Amino acid sequence: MSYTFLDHTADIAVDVSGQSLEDLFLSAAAAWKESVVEQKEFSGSDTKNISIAGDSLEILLVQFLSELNYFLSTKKWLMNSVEELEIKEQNNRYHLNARIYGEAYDPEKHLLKEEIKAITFHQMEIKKKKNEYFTSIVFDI
Amino acid sequence: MKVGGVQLNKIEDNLWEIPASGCMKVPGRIYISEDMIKSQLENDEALKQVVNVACLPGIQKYSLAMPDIHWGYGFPIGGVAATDLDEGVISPGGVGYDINCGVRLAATSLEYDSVKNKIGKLVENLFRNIPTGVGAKGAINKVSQKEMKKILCEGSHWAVGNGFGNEQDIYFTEENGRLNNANPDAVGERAIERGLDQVGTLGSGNHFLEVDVVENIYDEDIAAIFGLFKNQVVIQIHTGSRGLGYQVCDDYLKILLQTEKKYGFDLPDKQLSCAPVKSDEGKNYLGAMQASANFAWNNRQVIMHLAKKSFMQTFNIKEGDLGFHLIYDVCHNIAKIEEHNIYGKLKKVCVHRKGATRAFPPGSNLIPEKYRDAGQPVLIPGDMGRYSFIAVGTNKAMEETFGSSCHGAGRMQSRHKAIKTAKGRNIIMELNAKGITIQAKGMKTIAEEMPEAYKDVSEVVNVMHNAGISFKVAKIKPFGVIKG
Repeated sequence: MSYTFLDHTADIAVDVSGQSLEDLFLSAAAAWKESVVEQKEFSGSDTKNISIAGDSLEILLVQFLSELNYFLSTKKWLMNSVEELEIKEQNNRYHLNARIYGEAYDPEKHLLKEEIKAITFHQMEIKKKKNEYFTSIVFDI
Repeated sequence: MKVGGVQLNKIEDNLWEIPASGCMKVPGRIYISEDMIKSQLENDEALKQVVNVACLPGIQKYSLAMPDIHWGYGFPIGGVAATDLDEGVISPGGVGYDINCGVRLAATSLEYDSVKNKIGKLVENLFRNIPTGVGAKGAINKVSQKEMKKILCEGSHWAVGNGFGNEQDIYFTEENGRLNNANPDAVGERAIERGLDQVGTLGSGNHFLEVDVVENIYDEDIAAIFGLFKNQVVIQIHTGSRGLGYQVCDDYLKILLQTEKKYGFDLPDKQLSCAPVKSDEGKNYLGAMQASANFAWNNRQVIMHLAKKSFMQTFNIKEGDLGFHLIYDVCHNIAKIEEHNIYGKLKKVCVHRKGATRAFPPGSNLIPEKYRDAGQPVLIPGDMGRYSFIAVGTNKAMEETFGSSCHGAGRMQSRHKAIKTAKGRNIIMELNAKGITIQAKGMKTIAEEMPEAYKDVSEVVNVMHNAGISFKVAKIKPFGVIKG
C-alpha cells in the first residue's frame, strides 16, 4: 500500500498503488485522509459501513472516496481507518463492502487542510502490472 | 504553429484557430496573445480540451476559449460552447463543480481616505460576521429542507424576503438572481444535505471578499453610468454554490456516464459526460443546475448584506450615509438557454460558460435598464495583492463569443509550490507593507493564495479589450481581504 502526491497547478493529484485491488483502495483512502486533515492518527472508535456498486473499477473507486468525502463534508464525520474492505465482481458489476472507523469532526481536535469539492475521473485508469495495481487520482479542491 | 501537439493558425492579433479535424464538428477559436500562448499553453493540456469540446454533439460555430484558458476537468477553464437544443448536449463538465461561482461588486459612497485608517477594524468585523474556511457553518442557522427548497426556487429573492438586502439588489443581479426553471426535486438528497448549513458562507480556496479602492477609470462615461468614481471604496465577493453545487455536478457526472452508451456517444474524456439537452437526464441536470445557481445567488446576497452591516458597525453610520449598493453580480460557471445569431439566423442554444463571464452589449434587454446605454458590467477579479478590473460587454462579443468574456487571472504556481515560495516569508506583513490588510482562517491559505501564485490579470483583460470583446472601464485595487 503506497501513494505519492504529484505537483498539480490547481488541485491535488496522487499516484496510488497496492498489491491487490483492496490494497489499492486502502492506499487511495489513506491519500484522501492525508489531503483533508493534518492529524495522522486519532482514536476513531465510531464505525460506519459502506456498501456500493459500479459498472467499472474506476467508478467504484470514485464512489468509495466520494463516500468518505460525503461523511466529512455533510455528516461532519472523519474517517481514521478502513477495515474489512472487500471487492467482488458479479455480472460485470463491481461491489464494495467496507467498515470505516472514525469519529465526529471536532474543530478543537482536527485541523482540516482542504475542502475536496469532488473526486474526479481525470486520468483515472486502474491498471495491473505484474502483481501490483496502479492508478492516478485527482481531487478537485 | 503547433502548440502541445495542436495546430494553431493565427486569424488576427489575439485570435487563433484550431482547424476542425478528427472528431471535431467545428473549429476551435482561442482569444489569446502570442506571448501568452508561448508562456502558458505549451505545457498545458487545455488546447486538447478545446479540441475535445469541439467533438460534442450539436456544438455550434466554434469551441471557444477566453485568454484565461487553462486546464480544467472536461472543458478547459475559460471554455465557452453553445449547443443546439434539439441535436445538442448539455454537459456538467461545461459548467464545473462550483455551479454559479461568480463575482459581485458593491459600491459605497465612502472615499479611500475616510476608510483606510479603520481598515483593520473593518476587516476584523467582516471576518467575524462572514463565515469563512473549511467546515465553517452558515451565518444563518442550518435551514430546514423545506426552506432549502424555497432557496433553490427563489435565489436572491429568498435572501431579500428574509431581510438580507433590498429589491434594488435583485434588479442588479444577472437573471435578477433567479433562474425560473430551477427544479429542486432534481437536486439529490446528499446535495441538499451538504448545503443546509452553508447558506451565507464564503468557502475556502480562491473564494474571497475584498475591500477595494477605484484606482483608475478608463471610460469616464460608462464608469459614471455604473456609478463608479476615482478613490471610491467598493467591495468584491467571489464565491458560488458551495457543497451543494459540487455535489450536484458530481452526482450528474456519474448519472450521465451511465447514459453515454444509451445515446451512442463516444467521448474522449469521462469528465465530458453529457446528455441531449431535451432528454430526461439533460432536463434533470439543467433543472438541478439552475437550482444550484439560485443557491449561489442567494449565498452572495446574504454575504453582501453581512458586509454592509460590517461597514455600518465599523463606521457607526446609518445605511443612508453609507450609500451601499450593488453594482452588478455575474456568474462565471453556468449553462444558459439564450438566443444567439447562428450564421445569420437567431436561434435558441445552450451556452456553456466555464470560467467565462457573460458580456452582453449595450441595448440588450437582459441587462438592467440603467446600464442599457453602456452594456453589461463584466467583473474580472485578479489576485489579492494587485488589482481587479471592471469591463463592459460589446456587440462584438455577441457576434463572436456568444456574449462572453474572460473571468479572472488563473493560477501560475501549484498550491504546493506557492507554499514553498512563501516559506520563511511573512506574506501578511508583505501585504501590509503594500497597504493591504488580510485575515484568513489559516496561514496555509494565505501562502497558497499569495499574489505570485497567480498570473497578472491585466494581460487577460487587455486581450479581451484589444480584441473588442469587452472594454476596460475601471481598475480597482484591494486594501482589505478576508479569505477561507
